[in-house]
Amino acid sequence: MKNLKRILTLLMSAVMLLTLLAGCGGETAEDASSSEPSESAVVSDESSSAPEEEKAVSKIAILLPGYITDQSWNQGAYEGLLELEGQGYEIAYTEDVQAADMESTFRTYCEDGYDFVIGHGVQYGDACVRVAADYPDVNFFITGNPPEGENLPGNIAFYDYKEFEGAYVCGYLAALMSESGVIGYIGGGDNTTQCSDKNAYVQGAKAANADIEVKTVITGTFNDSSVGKETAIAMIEQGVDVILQTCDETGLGAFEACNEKGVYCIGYTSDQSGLVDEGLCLTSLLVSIPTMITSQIDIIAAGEFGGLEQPGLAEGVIGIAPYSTEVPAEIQQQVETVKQSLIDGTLTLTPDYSNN
Amino acid sequence: MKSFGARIDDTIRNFSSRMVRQSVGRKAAIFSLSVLAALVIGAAFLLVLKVNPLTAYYYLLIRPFGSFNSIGEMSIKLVPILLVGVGVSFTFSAKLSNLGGEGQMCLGAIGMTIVGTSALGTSLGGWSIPLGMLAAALFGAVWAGIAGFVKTCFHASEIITTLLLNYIAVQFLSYCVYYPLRDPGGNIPQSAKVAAVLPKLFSGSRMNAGILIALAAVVIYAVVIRRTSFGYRLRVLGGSVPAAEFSGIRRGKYYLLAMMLSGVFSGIAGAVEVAGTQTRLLEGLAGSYGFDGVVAALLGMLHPVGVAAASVLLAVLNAGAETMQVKTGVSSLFVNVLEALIVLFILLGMSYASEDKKPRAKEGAK
Amino acid sequence: MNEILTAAFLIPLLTAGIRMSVPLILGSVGEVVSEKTGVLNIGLEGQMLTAALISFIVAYYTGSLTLGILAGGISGMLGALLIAFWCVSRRQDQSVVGIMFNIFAIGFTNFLYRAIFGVSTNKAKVEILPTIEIPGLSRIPWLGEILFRQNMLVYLALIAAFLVLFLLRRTKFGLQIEATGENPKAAQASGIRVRRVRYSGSLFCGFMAGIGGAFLSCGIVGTFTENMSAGRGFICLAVTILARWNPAFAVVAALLFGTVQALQLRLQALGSTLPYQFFVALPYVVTLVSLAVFGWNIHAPSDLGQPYNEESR
Repeated sequence: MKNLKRILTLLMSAVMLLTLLAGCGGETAEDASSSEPSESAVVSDESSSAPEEEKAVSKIAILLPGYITDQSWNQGAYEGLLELEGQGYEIAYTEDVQAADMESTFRTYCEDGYDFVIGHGVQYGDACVRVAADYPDVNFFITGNPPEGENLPGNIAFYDYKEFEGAYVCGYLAALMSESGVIGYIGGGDNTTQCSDKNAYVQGAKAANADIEVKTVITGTFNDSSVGKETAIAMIEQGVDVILQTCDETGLGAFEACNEKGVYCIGYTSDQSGLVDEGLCLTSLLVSIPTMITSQIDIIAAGEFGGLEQPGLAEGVIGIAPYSTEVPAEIQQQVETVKQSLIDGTLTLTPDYSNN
Repeated sequence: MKSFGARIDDTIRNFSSRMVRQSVGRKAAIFSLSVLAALVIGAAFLLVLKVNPLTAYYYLLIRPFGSFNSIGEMSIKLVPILLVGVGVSFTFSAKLSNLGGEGQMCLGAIGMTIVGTSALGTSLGGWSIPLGMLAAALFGAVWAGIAGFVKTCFHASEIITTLLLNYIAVQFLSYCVYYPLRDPGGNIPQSAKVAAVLPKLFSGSRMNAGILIALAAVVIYAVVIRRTSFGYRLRVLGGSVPAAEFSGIRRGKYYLLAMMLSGVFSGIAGAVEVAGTQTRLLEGLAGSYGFDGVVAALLGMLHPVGVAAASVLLAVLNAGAETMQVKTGVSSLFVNVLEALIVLFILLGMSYASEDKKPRAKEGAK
Repeated sequence: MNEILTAAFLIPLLTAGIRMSVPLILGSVGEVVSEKTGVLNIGLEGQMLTAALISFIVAYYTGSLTLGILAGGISGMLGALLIAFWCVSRRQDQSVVGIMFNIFAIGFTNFLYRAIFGVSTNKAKVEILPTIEIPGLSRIPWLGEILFRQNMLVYLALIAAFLVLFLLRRTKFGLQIEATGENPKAAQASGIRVRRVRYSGSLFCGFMAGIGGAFLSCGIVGTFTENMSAGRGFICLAVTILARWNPAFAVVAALLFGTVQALQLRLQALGSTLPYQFFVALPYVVTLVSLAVFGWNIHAPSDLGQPYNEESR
């Protein structure tokens, strides 16, 4: 019993000491702790720099499937958020939201007064529909196509951007640049966006060269760079000399492999040419995620929020990054022609969502 | 020479018997001290992250009770933890370390989904739920039974086999949502919606009928373990294997039965997740519930009320972690640190407490 | 199928297989020693994960991979010290302590990474271990490429395995280890310090696990990701059993599992339609089956998992 008393005294003193430290050093919830190392950043509302007109929304949150360090999908969203923060909105994000936690994370944000909540990826659509019905005053935004056969609540906007148009163009370019006749595609997940990318890539490649062989792998994860690296290495061993990756963090591993082996690669979401040696990155499949998000604010303010939009190359939401120096002028011309035909509608693609 | 498996059996003996012998007051003291110590150390961690620990703990521990809605969110987490905890308690009573809650939950979830998304399920409407639960219980029992069988016949350690089966089950569930059970409508790895969903108890909260099932499970556990001969035999087996065998209790048979019974409860936990919370089969459905159930059983010292209370604590931690993350930016994984510290301190406390009772032995050949 | 049996496919496959099996070799060799003394170290997974982070941090700030890897080994040992204290000195249940340690490690590594690197869109990176070509030997067709063009830790892991085998079979300490695991009472009676032997075994296991974890972050990818160990610690437990507590067999089993992992990544690119889940589950299924099939033949250390009370009787 004596020992117990000693331990108790020790603990009590520790508690008091810590409370003291906490009181001096920490901040209260009201000041909105700007904890630097955090997975979900909450920043205080800089109401002094806010625009005069009444904001339609004030607190914005986003659910991310991966991490903001992926130089791609999730980072793009984070940058969009930062832009909004600069404009005076309160932002927050959660990384690595797993399927089973989607609904509860949505609800936690809604309960906390966030009025613009984004699910960054088609996989959030289903959970979002369930939650949106309970929170009619919250604006929801999904970067993907809507789930089928559902009665969709009016406060969700779906952005079914035509990433596959860009993938088609990339496939065309890859086929023209390949010397071995084998090109590769590495995707992260078995969902509509990724599958339509994969199939469009193959389509585009075959349009440039009917004999081209395309090896495709869906790795099953967006967050494991060692898997991406091993997959890319395996592909390169099988003769692949151009690889398109659309898998965020996993794709970074693939880029590493391409860099080590001196193999051409094509990036995703943003211009990733800086990640590898000069010239190796032929281009990147650009998805202007920051704009996607920030443009919604104006739409909300205009009262036109909701429904389905399907922007693509023509609207500038999808783009092709500047070509690397390795791409000869004639090939650039050919690819530009294809791209233009998609923009002005002479060539239309229907997305193929099958995963065969 | 005792076999491998038999030796592993004896392992928990020291642990649990020591626990049981303590007085309630002492147990409570150790429990509270451990929680306090864990919170203090956690606070130090939080300070390093420049987060006010009191704020963080408020969101972690107090907020889950703050609103109707948040209590509902907490109850959603409580149900699987409690069900798995009860199931595991049966096996722990017989001194079996059943760590397979996660795998058994997965199998139960698959069973419920098969019924719920089949033509039969759709035609049955609301009745697909009891049928699905039955299937889930069966699947869970079979999965746990594999470990029980391997132990009974081949004396393999159930610690290892249940852990292995967890991994296999998680992959199997992943396979199911990608291929056979995949929702033909969408293109995401998840199953179609099940035909019927557990009704919500109150509007404005996600609490569903699963909580009633969980409470029933606690009652069933309390009755079976103390009032039936089956429960008695399990406890005798847990107390002393030779004594049990002497009184004619066949070890192999009761090990198998205990494992299968726990599989039933964990399987139903999986079913409730599918039919109640998620409405369809998803990856990651079992999450940390498998191990949380084990922790709940141990913290609750296998007593029905204790296990229930410990489950509430774990559910609060899990639910509060999400709020804490949104509000303070501290990752929800931080809760793992607290949980682990609490259990480790309780174990430590117990080991010192029981030592006080033993006479100081002479320092032998060291 | 024809594509698989070509040298062009098999050589890189086996090379990758060796690469992927290094953490498994290190971890299971350590686990063999620990289990032989009677301590079931389930916390191996947590030790690997923590070491992956600590070694990364040290390598990042000192610029030296060697220091980083050593730091990883030490952090693994610290974790083992903790576990050994709870299990050997305080005689608590080894599987419970191990599992709680793993849970702790997940939360702790997450916390530490954030505390040190904060939030940024640029991931911290270190240079990974360079490949070392063994002169002469690396020119042997087939074997040369597979075996003798790997990085440092691969060679160390293989050497360590054989050293441990030698230790267990041919040295006095090895005999003490076996005795402690088989019958601690008799061992103590004959003058062996059971507690000390068990601590040593655990610490060694922690060190090996730590090096294995360091390999994950500094040897392959050069970054740290959440939950990087991804269950490898548990596979080590399986390997240990499969290998019947023999370090040489552990190497073989670990290589087998590593190769299966490498194969799984390549098969999809080959056009195979087998679901990848099948391959991920394969090592576990194999172990489970072997437990059943070889179960009654396996002679585990008789006292495995049993807390030892010197004072009883």
